[in-house]
Amino acid sequence: MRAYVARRLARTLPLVILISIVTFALLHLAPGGPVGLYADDARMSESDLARIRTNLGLDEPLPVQYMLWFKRAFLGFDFGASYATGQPVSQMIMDRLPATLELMGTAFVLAVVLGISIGIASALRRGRFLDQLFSVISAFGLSMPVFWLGIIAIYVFSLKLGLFPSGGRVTLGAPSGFMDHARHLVLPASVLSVGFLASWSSYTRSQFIGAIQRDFVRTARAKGLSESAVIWKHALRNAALPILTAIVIQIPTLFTGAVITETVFSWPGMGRLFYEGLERHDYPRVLGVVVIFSFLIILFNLLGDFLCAAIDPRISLAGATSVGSGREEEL
Amino acid sequence: MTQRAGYSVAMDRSAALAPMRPTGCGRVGSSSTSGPAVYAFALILLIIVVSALAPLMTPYDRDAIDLGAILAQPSVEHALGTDDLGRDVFTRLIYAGRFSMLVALCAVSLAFVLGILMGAIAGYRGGAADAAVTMTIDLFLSIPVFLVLLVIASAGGGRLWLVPIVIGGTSWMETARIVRSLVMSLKEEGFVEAARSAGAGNARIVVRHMLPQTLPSAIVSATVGFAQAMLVESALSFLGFGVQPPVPTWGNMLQNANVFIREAPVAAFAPGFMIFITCLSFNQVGEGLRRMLAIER
Repeated sequence: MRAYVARRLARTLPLVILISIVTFALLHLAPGGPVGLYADDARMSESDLARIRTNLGLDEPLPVQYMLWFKRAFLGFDFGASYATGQPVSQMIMDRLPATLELMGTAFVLAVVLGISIGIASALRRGRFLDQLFSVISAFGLSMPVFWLGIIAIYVFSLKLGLFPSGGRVTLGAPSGFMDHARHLVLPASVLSVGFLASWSSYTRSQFIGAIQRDFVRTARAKGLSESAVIWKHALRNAALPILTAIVIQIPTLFTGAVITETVFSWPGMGRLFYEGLERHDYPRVLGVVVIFSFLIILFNLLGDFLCAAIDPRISLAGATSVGSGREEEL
Repeated sequence: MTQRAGYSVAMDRSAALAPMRPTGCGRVGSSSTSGPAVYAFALILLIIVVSALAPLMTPYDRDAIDLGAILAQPSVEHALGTDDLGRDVFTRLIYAGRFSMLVALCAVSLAFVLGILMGAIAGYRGGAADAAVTMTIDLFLSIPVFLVLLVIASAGGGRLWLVPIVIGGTSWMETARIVRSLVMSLKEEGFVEAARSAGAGNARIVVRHMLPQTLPSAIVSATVGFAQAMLVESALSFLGFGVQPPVPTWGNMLQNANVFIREAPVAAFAPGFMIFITCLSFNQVGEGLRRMLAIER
């Protein structure tokens, strides 16, 4: 197991570095370069900009600049100070991270639980009304621009019905309680989960239909097992792995969705931090958020892979003698 | 509920074919016929025709500012009302269709060509080329592509041509994956050996004998890819880093209208609905093609 983890880490860590190099290069290519924030200000003269560049160490050759940044970022978790606010970027990220994880976590759990339940329910009622209804809803969900859904949700549930707040994470000035927090979370988390819900429910449905048509299910039935044992023990266990894989693959998309959802709902998370940083040409902030996001995505991908490996008897983690005991082989 | 009768017939037939199967898991024939795909295709054609003939569809100029009619409610003169500069929303909506569809089309064409190229090279050459392409695909699948896209688009400073290039350049992986695996399996077929013994070179074998067989799958993935490209473009434009006003796309119209949603809700609903209905149509057509060509996912 340790060897497997080490091997995967050795393969994925260079990815984060590569992404940071690409982003670094892109930000230097941008009009105005890293000092774009100051260049936007009409009062700045060329000599002012030159002085700022010198002060910020942007006169050094690019590879030198990158190495300096790399050393501080990867060894000391120091992404420099934001050009816009002067705050340390790592502090800004740590302040915003809980909000993002809360939003994504809620949406993720919602989409996984509902998606898999709906998928199984549809598969078992294949072709009937419920299945048809869910497949139409799922087709809608897959084509739904998440920002539009967010705008509609705000308009209907917030502006017109007044059921939920239109944005933010807590009511300012009010005593922050659990209910207040939850009410703020309802709309953004639901909106963020819709696309994933649609995709995972239709995938679960097709995998499950595939599983219940396989020979071992017929065998299980022929042996006289109860229908629920056939479905829950045999079919589900075989459908579980591809479903899990499909969920893991979508993790980067969850981060993308978070950027858009946080922007629409003024959710004070990392997505919004990134968006504002990009709008204000705040170069250390953009670079920091991209690196942390990439790191998180790769981390979650790894976790997902380990989970897949752990439930799949065919994949042996190098060094591991037995992965879980007492599992009946069905493949 | 009207469709139910049709399904029970299908259920009966399959029940007759597989009498041993307990009810509830019976095989339903094609679970929905090509109906939705045909309507979707007709809808796409309609949207294309209306956008293409935009000047004939509306008496207003695309960017004509009318300060006397700011944020007007829908009326006989302005079917969908006006925006914050008094521009006719319906007019901008159909002109936006041109740009939204064109950007998606260019992006998807680029992704199509790149995907086939990468997939064919990887599948046919194998070895180091295959490893390089597979690694690149893995890379793209495990990074926050959209964030990098946003960084590129903002670095590009809103140049119109850049938008389809960055979207196409980051969405060819699915096609490449499909073409790669098809080419790999085709390589073992007898007709390849036959072509080679007839003196055909590698390029000829790939282009004349293999690629035509990968086209159906590639086209299906491109059709669904069109919807994806449109969603990405509209998200970029909505965030302000895609196509820049006054050139209208459904995404940037929505961004603008969102600010005035209390005063002119229709102006915000309409562009989003167009994105939604167009993507839905392309997804349905893709799904219909997949079923028609009997392509496995």
